[in-house]
Amino acid sequence: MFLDKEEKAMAAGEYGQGIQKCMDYLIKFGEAFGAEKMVKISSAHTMPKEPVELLREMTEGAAGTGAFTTLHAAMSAFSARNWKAMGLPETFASTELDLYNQRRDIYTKLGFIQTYTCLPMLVGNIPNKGDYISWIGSGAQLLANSLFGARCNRDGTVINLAAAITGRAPLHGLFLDENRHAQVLVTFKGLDFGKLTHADLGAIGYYVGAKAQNRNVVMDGIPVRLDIDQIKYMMAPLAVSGAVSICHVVGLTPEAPSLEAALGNREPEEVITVGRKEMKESMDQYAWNGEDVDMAVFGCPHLSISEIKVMAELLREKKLKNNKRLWAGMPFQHYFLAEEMGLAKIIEDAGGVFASACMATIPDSPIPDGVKVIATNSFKAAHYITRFSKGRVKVVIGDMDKCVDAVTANHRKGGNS
Amino acid sequence: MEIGAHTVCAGKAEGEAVVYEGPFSFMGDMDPLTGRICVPRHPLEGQSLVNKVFVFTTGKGSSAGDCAAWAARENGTMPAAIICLESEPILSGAVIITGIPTVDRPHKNPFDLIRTGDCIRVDADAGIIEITQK
Repeated sequence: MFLDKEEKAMAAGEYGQGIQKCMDYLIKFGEAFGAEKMVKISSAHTMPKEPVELLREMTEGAAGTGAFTTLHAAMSAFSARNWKAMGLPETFASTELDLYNQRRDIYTKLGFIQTYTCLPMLVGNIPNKGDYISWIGSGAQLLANSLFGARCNRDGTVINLAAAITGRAPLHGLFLDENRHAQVLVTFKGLDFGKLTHADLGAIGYYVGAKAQNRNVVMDGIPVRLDIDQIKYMMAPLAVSGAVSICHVVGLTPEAPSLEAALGNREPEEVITVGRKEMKESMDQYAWNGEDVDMAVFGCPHLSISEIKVMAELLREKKLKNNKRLWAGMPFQHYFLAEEMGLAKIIEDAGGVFASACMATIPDSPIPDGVKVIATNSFKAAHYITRFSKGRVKVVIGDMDKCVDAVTANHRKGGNS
Repeated sequence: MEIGAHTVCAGKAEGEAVVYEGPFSFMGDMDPLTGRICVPRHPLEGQSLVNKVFVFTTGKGSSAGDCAAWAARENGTMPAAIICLESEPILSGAVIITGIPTVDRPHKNPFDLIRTGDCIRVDADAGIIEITQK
């Protein structure tokens, strides 16, 4: 594998033991995949869940990260700020808090941007078309590749951390033009895109992901300009029921000016048509048949400020019913914005809690005892909560308004609570 | 008998084979404390992988599989070597950071030739799998 002068110096330990270790991992990894050389990455996004000792080893002697590096959402819904309000068990929280603080000291020293979000583009990590990046998080990777036209592989968390520390990544996989074309073509029939809700769009993604598996996708024939929230709900499940890394949308995403361009002038391996029946197939897996809901979960992927605004309107003059909960995942930068706009107060007065944390990877604990049914507008959350709670918790899908209705009652000032 | 293969992580090791004709992730499939398969109703549920030569189809699953492997190495519960059909990036990262000799893309189908309990030597430096005792 070709290494430039600086990369050789890193490998030789001239920048310290941590960088030497990182470069060693990257070289071995690159060689396993036949990479010719390293490339400089424009940004990284890493998982704040690595074993502390490993983080110490890999950063030993390093003065800072090798590229602009943001941090992924805290896993297991753990929010260092809000775990008490969320009702997380004290034993769980104290262990997590200790590790969080140990990691935070290292992140602070090395200048990691401590965003704790699954969507770093919401808070300033914005790649350009063609940039090489090393990001963790299947949703963020998919959006970076598809929507921004940046180049991101699905490498594991440690290789990703090594890339962040050195600012380099091996040239392989989706970094290369020839691996970015779509193999699977998705077309639509009988859908009025103007009327599809976020849950509906998630149902499309969940269906397509299972069929496409790890292949690249192109969607054609979407007659409206989807906004960022709609794209988020449609694309995120592709990497949940499947392992899709790139989803072109003809006429919308930068590498799909035409269907032919997205397919690299080849015939698709497979054509999938999605209509009402296919969406229902997804919906039926998390069907809501009148079950009484204990908790509503939003923000998977993390909420945008537009969604927070909608959520606040839905919660105005409402209160959570007894023993019911509402968790909302978002980058805490958005929390400050929501606070400034008066939205946070409305949501918190109603009993909702915010967490700059992952709302999908919630295992049996910390999900509070007594929570047996969760409602969410996110297929990604539904999929992972069902699995991580080992089936103890039933998850049903509904749009945000329906989920809010299920856990709240009217509460006008001066009235009875 | 020898089978050629592609090197994922260099090194040499030998041990008793554990064969599973399915995909594997260090995250969720193996308990890092015990090195045993911990998936309920898995055909190998309870089987220890410690110091074994683990033969399976492909890597799969969570991007944090490498962290789980690292924890297993700290506990001394990793397999001695790995043979698989295709090592995707997450499995590759996991074996590279833990230094487990690993080969993939074997030139002959290992599921026809290797049975659980066979003695296997993996020379990942040379890309050779040797079945030393059936």
